[in-house]
Amino acid sequence: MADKATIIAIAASCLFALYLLPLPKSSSPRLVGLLIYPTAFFAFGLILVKLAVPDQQKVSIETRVSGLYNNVNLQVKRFNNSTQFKNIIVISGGSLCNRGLDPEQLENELQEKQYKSLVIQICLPGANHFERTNILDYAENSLTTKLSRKVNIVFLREASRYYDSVPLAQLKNHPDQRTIAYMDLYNSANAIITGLTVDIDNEKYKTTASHIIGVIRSSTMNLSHIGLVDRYNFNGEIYNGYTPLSEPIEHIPVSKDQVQHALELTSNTQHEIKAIPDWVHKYTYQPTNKPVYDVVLNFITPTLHNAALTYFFAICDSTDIPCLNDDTLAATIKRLEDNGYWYDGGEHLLQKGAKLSTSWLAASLISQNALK
Amino acid sequence: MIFTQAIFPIFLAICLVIYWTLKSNRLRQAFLLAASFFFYGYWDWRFLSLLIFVILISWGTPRLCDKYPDRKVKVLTSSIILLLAQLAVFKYFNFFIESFESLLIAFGIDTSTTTLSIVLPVGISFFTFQAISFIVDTNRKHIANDTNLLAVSLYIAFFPQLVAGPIVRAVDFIPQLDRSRIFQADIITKGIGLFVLGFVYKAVISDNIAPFVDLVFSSPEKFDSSVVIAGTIGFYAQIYFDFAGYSTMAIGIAYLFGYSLCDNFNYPYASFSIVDFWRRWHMSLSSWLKDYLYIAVGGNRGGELMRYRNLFITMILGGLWHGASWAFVLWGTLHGIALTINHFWSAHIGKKMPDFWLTLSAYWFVTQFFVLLCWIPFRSENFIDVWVILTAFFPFNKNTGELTIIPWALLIAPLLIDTLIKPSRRIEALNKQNPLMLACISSVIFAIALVFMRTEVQAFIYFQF
Repeated sequence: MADKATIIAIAASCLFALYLLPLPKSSSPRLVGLLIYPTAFFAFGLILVKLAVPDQQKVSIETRVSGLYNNVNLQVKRFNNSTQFKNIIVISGGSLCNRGLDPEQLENELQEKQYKSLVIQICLPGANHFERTNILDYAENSLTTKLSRKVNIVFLREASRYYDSVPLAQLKNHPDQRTIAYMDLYNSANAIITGLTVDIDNEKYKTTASHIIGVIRSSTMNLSHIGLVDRYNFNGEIYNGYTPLSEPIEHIPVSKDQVQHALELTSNTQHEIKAIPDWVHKYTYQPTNKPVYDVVLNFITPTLHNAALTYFFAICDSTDIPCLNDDTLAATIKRLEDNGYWYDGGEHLLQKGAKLSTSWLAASLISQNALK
Repeated sequence: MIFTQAIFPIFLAICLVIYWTLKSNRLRQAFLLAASFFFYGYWDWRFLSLLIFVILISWGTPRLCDKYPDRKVKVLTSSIILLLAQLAVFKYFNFFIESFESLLIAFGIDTSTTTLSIVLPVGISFFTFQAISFIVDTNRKHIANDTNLLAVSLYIAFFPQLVAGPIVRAVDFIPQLDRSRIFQADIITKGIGLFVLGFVYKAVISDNIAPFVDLVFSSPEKFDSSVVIAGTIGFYAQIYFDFAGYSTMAIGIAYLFGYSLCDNFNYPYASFSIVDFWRRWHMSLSSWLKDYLYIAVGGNRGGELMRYRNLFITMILGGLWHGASWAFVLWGTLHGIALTINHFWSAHIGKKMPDFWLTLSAYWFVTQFFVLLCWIPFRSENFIDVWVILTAFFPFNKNTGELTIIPWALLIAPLLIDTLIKPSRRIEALNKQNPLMLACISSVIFAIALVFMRTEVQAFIYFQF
């Protein structure tokens, strides 16, 4: 607070002091000049700020967001300071992997099997496509430009049923710290195009004017840097993309039917096919042209959420990218049928469940021959 | 709608384009009135009826006086009572009921009175005072009795000053409506300069002081004396930058439409006496109270003692104008006492004292310290908190509560630099030298200032009055 306050005090004093500038005498301006010059100077002011703070999402007051960026830097530094790592595993996802995968455990288990790997986990609850892309772009850029040597880079992409179907879900309400941070010009244009073109069956989730207004508001605040200091995080915390949960939110028992249905989904090759939105194919689950990755895999963190599983298998069926959907996934789900593994009735894992789930991921990566 | 809300610049830009595109003065006024109604209705359209009610009373009163000259006093009295009554209902009803109930309980009488859940319409005190000003000014023949409805409506509802002043006088504003507004670039540039200055006051300084002040005043008993003192200094700075910010923005916006509003602040924290302070703080209210209340209750007539009494009554009512609470009454009373002492001192002792740097410094310190202490009841949640905060100022106070980081730089630096530089006067001077350059500098300042505003919109303190 004091740091921010001092910066604001200095800035306010400097802004006052600008009025002390001596000016040459000049007559009254014309209308055109009055429109053009102040507008140009306003734009100049915006550019000045942009140059001073190029990546404003990196300094978000939402420590889980800025912490992920800081974690990317930290992991790149770790890699460069050590010669032991043969693989870098980048995991991108939402709340399922944020609660269900422990990057430290994953590193340790792989190390035990002699696959010396470094894990950069970019999993954030409530992260839609645009937010994930924003952080991922930063990670990819770091991996392309900052690594000291060549390494096998594996990219794990978690299927995101809800945000693929409702791309502007987070943007309906008043802009928050996160939406402002990731709605830059590129994302805003994409969000509006996607929001207007995506075909959503469910009336409840259809793109409305308030979604578009939400995008414009967040985008305006991002571009004009409104409240940047308010959103600025001075602490430089690290967040590794994993939030272990120890207590269930409420007692929602996991039913036998739920487990059974999940197991059927994993074993049945004729999955309940669900339409994958075109835009998702285009932007997310198709092979990327980015040379940064050596291996790309689609996956889902073990869950009993049937719709999420159905969607994941539908993706696996419809793309050429390999998926982590072998028998070990079914076996892990079977092991997780106990109520004590779940935070909210079979959707998100507790810490105890995350241990099993992370072990599954380690084994599955090895069996896919994705690692060196 | 709030000036620092994201929608406001869009609203303002649309209004300016349409307004200056219209050729006829009457059309422009009609458009401004419609825009003002939209501005007010954006908050709660139901209260537009109240605003229209006040406008109609103001417009109708002088006409009725003309029509029934023998009943002029009755018509005038009824109108002013009606205006004050609607203010009393919306603003003071619960205050009087609760105070009456407390009084009965103090005498051992058990009561079960009911208070109502009344929403205080934004700016009601401001537009009611303007309406009274119009009625009195027409009666004093400063304004024509047959002023048309559009002019009266725009005078009361003109959106830049509608919800938090400055309290514009009919005699200053209505004559401006008679002449067609001409687009003058140097008036527009002055408006831009003042708007941006007000924005810096409010969005950059006041709103960023607010979290610290709110923290301290929410539970002062928790904090160490140094924190409590800093919180009080914080409010001293916050309320100035908040209210002066609004007024400066309002004056700036009015210039953008070619209208001029009266000044409301003249660097009050540079004043050397309480009398001087009230000539610089909320100047439009001070002069309103002087012309319509102080003079009405007797003014300077009847000798020195009567003058002090009248001053005292004016300040108590002025305190009550700010809000329906005994804390505001106490605030007004304290200032009333200080003004009385100040006048007495000036008349009998001060004249004999030499004015050199040491006495001037002492005058400044005493004045500002008194103003600072008076803000305590103004801001506190209750009288217990007032006492807790006051005890923090006792020299031998050993209160060692929670310590927190005090943003000293933010509490003091802008205040000091603002008082030294006096930016609004600089804007005036720069506008005479090079208006286009002033607009350009203001635009850069605005772009940079956006970075320092809070993400969430903060209401102006004086909206509640």
